[in-house]
Amino acid sequence: MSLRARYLPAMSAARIAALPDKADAWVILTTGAIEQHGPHLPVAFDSLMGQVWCERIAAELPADAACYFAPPITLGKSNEHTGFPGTLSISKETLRLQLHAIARQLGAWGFARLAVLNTHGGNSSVLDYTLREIADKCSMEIVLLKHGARLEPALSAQEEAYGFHAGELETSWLLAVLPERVKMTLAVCEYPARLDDAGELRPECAPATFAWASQDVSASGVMGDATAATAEKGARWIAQITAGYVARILELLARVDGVPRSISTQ
Amino acid sequence: MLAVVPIAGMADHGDELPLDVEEQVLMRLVRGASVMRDVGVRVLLVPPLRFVTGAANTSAFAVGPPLAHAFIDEVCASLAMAGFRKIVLCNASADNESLCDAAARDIRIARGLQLFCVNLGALGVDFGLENAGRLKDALERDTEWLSAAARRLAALWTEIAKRAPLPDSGKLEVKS
Repeated sequence: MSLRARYLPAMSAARIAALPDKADAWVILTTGAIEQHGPHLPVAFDSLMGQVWCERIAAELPADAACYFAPPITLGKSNEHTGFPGTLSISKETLRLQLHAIARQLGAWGFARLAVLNTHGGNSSVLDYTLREIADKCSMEIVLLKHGARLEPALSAQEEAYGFHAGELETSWLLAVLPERVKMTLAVCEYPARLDDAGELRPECAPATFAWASQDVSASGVMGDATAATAEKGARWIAQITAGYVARILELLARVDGVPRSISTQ
Repeated sequence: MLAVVPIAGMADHGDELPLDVEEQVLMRLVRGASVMRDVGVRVLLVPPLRFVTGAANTSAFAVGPPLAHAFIDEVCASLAMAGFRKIVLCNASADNESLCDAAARDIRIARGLQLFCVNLGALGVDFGLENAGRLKDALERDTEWLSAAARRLAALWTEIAKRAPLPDSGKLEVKS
């Protein structure tokens, strides 16, 4: 089934009202960003990838899976890239209120389950506390959708830890789906930290973290090794990640109030 | 000199523990770390900010994110006016971790300050119900595990103090 067939704004109000499976259905909301992605990737990268994941997921879900797509949040909280041209950013409060508004509308339509697929790291903290807040106030079941896929070929440990923006993974994805938008001649390798740095203070995932703006840790805006990217790796990783997302959605659909139930996987 | 801002929530941690166990443990830790002779860092300890952004049914005096953000931002602005440039958010509540992370980033960007986050969970201090006995013990006497966590916190402060200041007072350059 196409993404369009599951996209709520593509339906009439009467069609949404008449959907028979709303109480059990999961609605997927992507949260992206428009922000600098180094000299070699387009600024729309995160939101473009949200579209890619939705299209791939919709194509692989069984036709009878009760799963719909909300209009995406295209502009994200990207103020960490302040100073780099091409970044459009909203505040943490605007992002929070947008999430509340979307949840409220879905609830008014009769949906009770929301899965958020986030493609921009700068949104993560706000999503984490806001989704907890919505779940608490709106009696809605909410998950942050994770693909859980083990990537093959695996990223190096250094890239896995500190290749989190416009690096090997993201550049490979876009080489696979939209190669004409990638300028590999401008790709660079620049890390915000090294695994073997002394001490425990790091930009992310450490006992002590320092709050960073991109220009504190990268002159180019790249955090990772974009030069190692290839379309072949990107195509494999996209297939693995899509399979991970689909498996997770089917798992979510198979439970009602935490109790597993059967669902067609044909 | 570092300004250390302790942040603790109040929540139900079981029948054996007070609602403010996070604050009690956190303050023992930060006080313990601040008097260690080998820290080599001068620390100004701010009174604890008491809030939690957790679920209403398990937390006490829970607040919404806008209030929590305003609280942290205004305290950091006051510290900046007093001349502090490096501020460490020492947070005890698992429910506040993502909020502290977002707050720190925005304050670094908007105010040009150097913000750091240390969550007690990363120092091995777990407020889960299964640790109630251990926590109760720590409230009543000096314990080796809490002393070890204080030593680790002191070492992190030393590393933070040594970190180079932001260039141009943290002002972000507009790139072409």
